[in-house]
Amino acid sequence: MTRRSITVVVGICLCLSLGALANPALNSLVIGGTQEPSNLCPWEGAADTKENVMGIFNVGLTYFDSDGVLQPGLATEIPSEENGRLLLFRDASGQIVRQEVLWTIREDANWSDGRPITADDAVFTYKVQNTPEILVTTRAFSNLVEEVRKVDSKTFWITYKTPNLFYANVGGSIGLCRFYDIAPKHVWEPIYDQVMAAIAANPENTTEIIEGQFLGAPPSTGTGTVVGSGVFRFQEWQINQFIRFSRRGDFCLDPPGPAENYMQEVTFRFIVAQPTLVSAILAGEIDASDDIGLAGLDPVILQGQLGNQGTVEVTPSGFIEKLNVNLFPECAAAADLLLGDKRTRQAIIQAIDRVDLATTVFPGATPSNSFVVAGDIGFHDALNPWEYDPEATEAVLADLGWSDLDNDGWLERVTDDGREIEFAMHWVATTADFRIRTGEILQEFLADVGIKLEVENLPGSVVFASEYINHGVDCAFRGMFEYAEAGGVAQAPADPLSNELWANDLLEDPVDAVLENVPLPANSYGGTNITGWVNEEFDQLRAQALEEFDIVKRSEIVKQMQVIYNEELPTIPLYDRVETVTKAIGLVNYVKGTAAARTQFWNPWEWGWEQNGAIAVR
Amino acid sequence: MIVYLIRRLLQVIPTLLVISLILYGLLALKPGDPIDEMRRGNPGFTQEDYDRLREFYGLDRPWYVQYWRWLGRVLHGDFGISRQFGRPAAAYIFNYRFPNTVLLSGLSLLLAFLVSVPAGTISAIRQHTAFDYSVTVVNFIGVSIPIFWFGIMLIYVFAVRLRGFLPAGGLASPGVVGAWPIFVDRLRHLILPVIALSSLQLAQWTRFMRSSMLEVIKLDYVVTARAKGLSERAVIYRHALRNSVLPLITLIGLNVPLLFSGAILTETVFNWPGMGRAIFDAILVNDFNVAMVSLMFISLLVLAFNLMADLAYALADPRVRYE
Amino acid sequence: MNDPLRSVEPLESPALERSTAGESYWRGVWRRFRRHHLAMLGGVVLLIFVLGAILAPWLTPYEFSRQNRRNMFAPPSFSVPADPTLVGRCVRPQVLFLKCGMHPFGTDDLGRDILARVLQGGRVSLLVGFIAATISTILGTFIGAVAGYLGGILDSVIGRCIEIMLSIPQLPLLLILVGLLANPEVRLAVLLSDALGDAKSIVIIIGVIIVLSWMSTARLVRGQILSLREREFVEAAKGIGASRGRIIFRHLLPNVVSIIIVQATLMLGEAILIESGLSFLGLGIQPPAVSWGNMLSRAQGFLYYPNGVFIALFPGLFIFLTVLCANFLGDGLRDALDPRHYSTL
Repeated sequence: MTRRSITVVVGICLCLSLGALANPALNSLVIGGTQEPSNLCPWEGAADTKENVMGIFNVGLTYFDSDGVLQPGLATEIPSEENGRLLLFRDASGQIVRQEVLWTIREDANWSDGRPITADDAVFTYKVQNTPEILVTTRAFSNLVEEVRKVDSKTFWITYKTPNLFYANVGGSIGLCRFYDIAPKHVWEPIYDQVMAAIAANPENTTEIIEGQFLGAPPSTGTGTVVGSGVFRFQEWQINQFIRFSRRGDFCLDPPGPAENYMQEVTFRFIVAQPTLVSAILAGEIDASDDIGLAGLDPVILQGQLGNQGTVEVTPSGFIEKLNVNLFPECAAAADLLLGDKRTRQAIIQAIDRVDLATTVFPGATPSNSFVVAGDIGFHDALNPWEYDPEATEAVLADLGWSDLDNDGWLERVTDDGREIEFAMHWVATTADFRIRTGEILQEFLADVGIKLEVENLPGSVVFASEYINHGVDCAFRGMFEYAEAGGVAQAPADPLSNELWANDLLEDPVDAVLENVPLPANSYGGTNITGWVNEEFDQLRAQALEEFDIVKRSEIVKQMQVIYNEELPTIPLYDRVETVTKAIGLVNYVKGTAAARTQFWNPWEWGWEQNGAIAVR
Repeated sequence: MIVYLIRRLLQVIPTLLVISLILYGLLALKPGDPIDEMRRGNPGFTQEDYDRLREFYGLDRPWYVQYWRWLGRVLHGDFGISRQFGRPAAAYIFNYRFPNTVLLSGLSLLLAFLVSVPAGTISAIRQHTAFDYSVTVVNFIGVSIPIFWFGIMLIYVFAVRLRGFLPAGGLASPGVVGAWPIFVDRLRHLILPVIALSSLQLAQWTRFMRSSMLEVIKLDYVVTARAKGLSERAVIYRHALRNSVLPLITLIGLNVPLLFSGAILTETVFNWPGMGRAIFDAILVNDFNVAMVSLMFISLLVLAFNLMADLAYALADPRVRYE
Repeated sequence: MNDPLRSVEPLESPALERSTAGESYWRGVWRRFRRHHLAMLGGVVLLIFVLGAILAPWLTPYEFSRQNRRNMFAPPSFSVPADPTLVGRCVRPQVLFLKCGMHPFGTDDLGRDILARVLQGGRVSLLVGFIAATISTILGTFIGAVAGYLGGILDSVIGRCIEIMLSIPQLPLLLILVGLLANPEVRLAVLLSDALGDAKSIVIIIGVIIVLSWMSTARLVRGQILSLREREFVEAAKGIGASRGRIIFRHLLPNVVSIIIVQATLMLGEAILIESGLSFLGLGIQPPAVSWGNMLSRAQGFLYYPNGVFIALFPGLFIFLTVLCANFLGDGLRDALDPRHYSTL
C-alpha cells in the first residue's frame, strides 16, 4: 500500500467521523421520538402520535403544570364559581340543567403569524367541530355544548346543555377542538368554505373531499403555512424524518428570564425503531427523548450507557397496565374457570409477584391496586395491596373446588354437570416487547400454582379491533386481555377517559335496565366495559361523581369506588406505567412531573440550556 | 415470436387485475382499522364516534364493494389517500419511499456488481488456487448469513461498541447544513445498510460469474483465440468477459423487482424508510391505499422483468419451444 | 427469497474423467462426493445439529423456559456463580461437564440459559426447515413434471399460476397470509387453533413456506423435463413402444432426481432463513415457543444492555452455520449427482 493510498483512507475516515463529532448549534434542541403524527389538523387524530408534536407549537386555554395544578394558558384565568365565570343553573330537584362558562383570552395572546387570537377563532373552531360532514375524532364533549357566544373580541361564553365537569380541562374536554382548544380562523376558514362548497356539489364524494382537501390541506400536511398558538413557529416538516420549529418573539407566556437565554430552535426527529432511537441518543445526535419512545427500557442500564452525556428520568405516564378478565357468563371457556367469581380473581392476583414483574419488565414502575394512578387527586392510598402469597392462592382455589386430579401439575375440577375442566386460561396482549416478556413471566408464576396460561400475542390492529375487544361475550378473548388504560388525569375520574368499569348509565332519564357500556348483542356490541362487570353500587357512585362539580368532593366519591374495585377486582391491576426520558446535560425545565401534565411538552417556552443562562424552575 | 410477445403483453393486464383482486381480498380479510387506534387516549371516544368514523371511511360496506370503488378510482389515476399519513398514497410512496429504496437497493446492486464481476472472473481464471478457494468460502458465507443478523452485528460493532462511529440507522441526521456535510452524512448512513443488503447478491453473483466464466473459457472459440496466439489479457477481455457477463445481467434483471419488496429486513434493522417497510406497516394497520399501490407497482415490475427474462431465455436456447 | 439462480445457472463443466467401468451410478456418486471435503463437513455438522436438536431437553441441566430473574444478562462462562442465590432452578444437577449454574452461552433477558434455548429453538427451526423443504420439493416436482411432460392446456394453466404467484411480491404475500391465519377472527384460523393448539404457528409457517416456494422447484423440473423430452433417448424409448408412465418414471425422473435432491438440500437453508426472517418480523413462531428467529427479534431491543449482544449472537450464528452447511452439502451433492455421469439409460 502506498503512502498516498493510506493518506486517502485516513482522510476518508476523518471525514466520516466528522459527522459523528458535529455538535448541534447552541440554543437549539433535538428531540427524538418514535411516533409521527399523520397530520397537524387540530380537530382530528390519535392522541399519542399528535399531542406531543402539537404541543410544541400550540398551547390551550389551560394546561396542567408539572405539579398537577391547572394553570391558565391562553385564558386570563380559570373559570370557577368564585370568580363568577362558572354559572350553574339548577332545577327544582337540584339537578344542574344548564351550565355557562365565561372565557377571556389574554390581550397579548396572538398567533404565530402575528394576528391576535380572538373570540371569533373560538366560535369558528366550535362551528367546524360541530359540522357533521367534517371529520373530527370525537364529539363526546362538543355534543354537550349548546352554543359558543362571542361577547367582545377577546371574550366568549360557552353554554352546555348538560353539565360538563371538565369544562376547563385539557385534551379537548372544553368542547372546542381536540388539540389545544382554539384553531386559527383566518387560516382555516377559506379551506372550510371551499370544502363545504365541494361537498354540497358532490355529496357522494364527501370522504374523498374531506381526506384530500381538509385533512390534506396545506396547514394540516405542513406543506403550506402552519399557524399555531404556541411559542415555537412551524418551519418545516420532512416526512418520516423530522419537523422543525423556531422561537417567535411575541408569545404571551414568559420564560423565567430574558427570552434569548432560552431555546430558539426545536427539531423533533422521528425514529420508528426503538433500538435506532437509543443508538442515536447514545451517539449524541439527540438531546432529549420524548416520553413515549423509550417505553420499557431499564433506566438504570440506559443511564449506565449514557454515562456523562446525559441524565435519565422516570416520569409517571398516567396509564395503568392491567389484566382485563372475561366475566361474561355466556363465554363458556371463561365461565368454566369460575372467572366470574371474585375469589378466583383474588386468587390470581395473589399468585403474581407484581413487584418482581414490574421491576423486570418496566423498570421504575410500581404495582397498582386501583384504577386511578398514584399521585392523582382521586387516588385512594389505603387499599388492600394484595401481596404476593401463592399459598393463599392455593387455599382459595382449593375452596373453589380445584385440585390436581390426575397429578399432571395442573389444577382440575369437576363441574356441576359432570365435566372435568383443566385450569387452562387464555391470555392475550399486543406484540410489544415488554408484553411478550410479561406473558412469559406470568406463565411461570401461574404454573407454580397449577394454572396453565395459554399465551397469545397478536398485533395491536387485531386485538384492538372492535370485532375482537368488544366480543368478550362471544369468547373472542377467553381469559385475560392485558393492556393499559388511563387512570385519571387529575380530574378525579369517573371521567370517560379512564372508565371502562361502569355498566348502566344511571344519569339518563328515564333510567332503564339496558347496560349501555357493556358490549352485548342487544346494544350492537357498543361500549367500553369489555370485561362485562356489572356492579350497581359502583354505577350509582359513578352517577353521583359525574354530577359533583367540587373536585374535592368528587375525589371522595371516587375513593369509595376504588374500595369496591379493589375488593371485586374485575380487572387485575399490574403496575402504574412510567416513561423513561433522556436529557442532555444542561437541559432545564424539560420535566413532565406528573401524569396530569399529559406530555413532556406542556411548557416549551421555558426550555433552555443552563450553559446559555436558562434558569431551572421545574 | 412476435405473436408470442404480443400475447404475453396482453396477458399482463388481466394478470394484474387478478393480482389486485387477490391482494385486496386478502387485505380485507384482516380485521382492524386505524379507527380502533383512535379509541385509546382520546377522551370520551364514544360508540357514536366510532360508528360515524366507520361510515365516513366506507368501512361498513362489504369488501368487494370497497374493491370496486378502489378499482374505479385507480382507473382514473387516483390511488386514494393514505390513512396513516393523510397524503395521497401514490404521491407518498413515490416521493418519499421509492427514492429511498432505489438509493439503498441501487447502491447495493452496484456494489455487488462491481465486486462480483472481477472476483468471479479472477476466480475462474485462477481456478483451484488459494484465491479461488477463499472467494468460494466467502461466497458460501454470504449466501448463508441471515441478512438481519448480519445487520444487527454490524450495528453492534460499528454503532454500539465503537460509540457511534457509524450511525445505527435512519436516513440522515437533521440540522446538517452545507452540501459537503450533507453528502458525508448521507454516505455514513448508507454504508452499513448497503453492506448488509448486498451481501447475498454479492455472493450469488460472484458464484454465477465464476461458473459463467468457466463455461466460456472452455468454449471452442476461446481455445481458438488462444491458439491463434492472442495474449491472455486479450482473450479474457475481448472474448470471454463480454460473453460471460451477459447471463449475469439477465440475472440481475430478474433480481431488480425483488429489491423493492425484499429489502424489508434490512429496512427494519436499519430503520430505513423504504418501500419494503412501508408495505409491511401498511398491511399491519390496514392502510389499504398505500399497501395496494406499492404491491401493484412491484407486481408490474416483476411481470415486466419476467417477460424480458423469458424472452432472453427463449432467444438463447432454441431447444426450448414455446407453443 | 426466491433464488432465480436456480433456474438460470448453467450446469458445471463436464468432468473430465470417466466413471470406472462397471461402476454403478450411486457408487460413483459416493466416490465423487467424498472428494468434496467441505460438503462432507457440512453433512457431518448438520447431522450433529440434528442430533443436538433431537436430544435438546437432555443436553443441559436447564429447562429452556425456566426463568431466573436474579441472574439476567449473565455473560457466557463455564464457572458457577459464587453467590448461590444467583443459581436458578435446574432440572438435573449436571450433564457431562455442565453443572447447574454454568451458562456457556450466557443468560437472556429473563435469566434463561441461552444454550438450552438455542438447542430448543433448533428443534423448531430445523423441523420447520426439513419438513417445508421436503414437502415443497415433492410438491414442486410433481407439478413441474406433470406440466412439463403433459404440456398443452395444463401446462399453460400451471405456468400462468406460477407466474402470478411469482409476480405477487413474495414477502408481503407471506405477511398477509401469516397475519391472516394467525388472527382469531378468520374461521379457518379458529379451526386450526382448535385442531393444533400450540403447534399452530409452526404448522402455519410450514404451510406458508411450502405455498410460496414450490414454484422454483416446479419451474426447474418443468424446464428440465421440457428439454429432456426432446432428447434422443426419449425418442428411442418411444420408438420401442414404452408407455407414457414408464417414460416418466424410468427415464425422465431419474435424470431429474439429482436436481431434486440438490434443490431440497438448498431449500432447507432457504426455509430456515424464511422462518427466521418471519419470526424476526414478529409473524413467525410466537413466543413462548422458541425458534432461532424469534430469539433474534427479542434481542434487538437489548443490544445496549451489558451482555445483551449474546442473545443475538448465538441464535444467529446457528442459523448461519446451518444454512452454510446445507449449502455446502447441496453444492457437493450437485457435483456428485451431475446427471452427465448417469451411464445407464
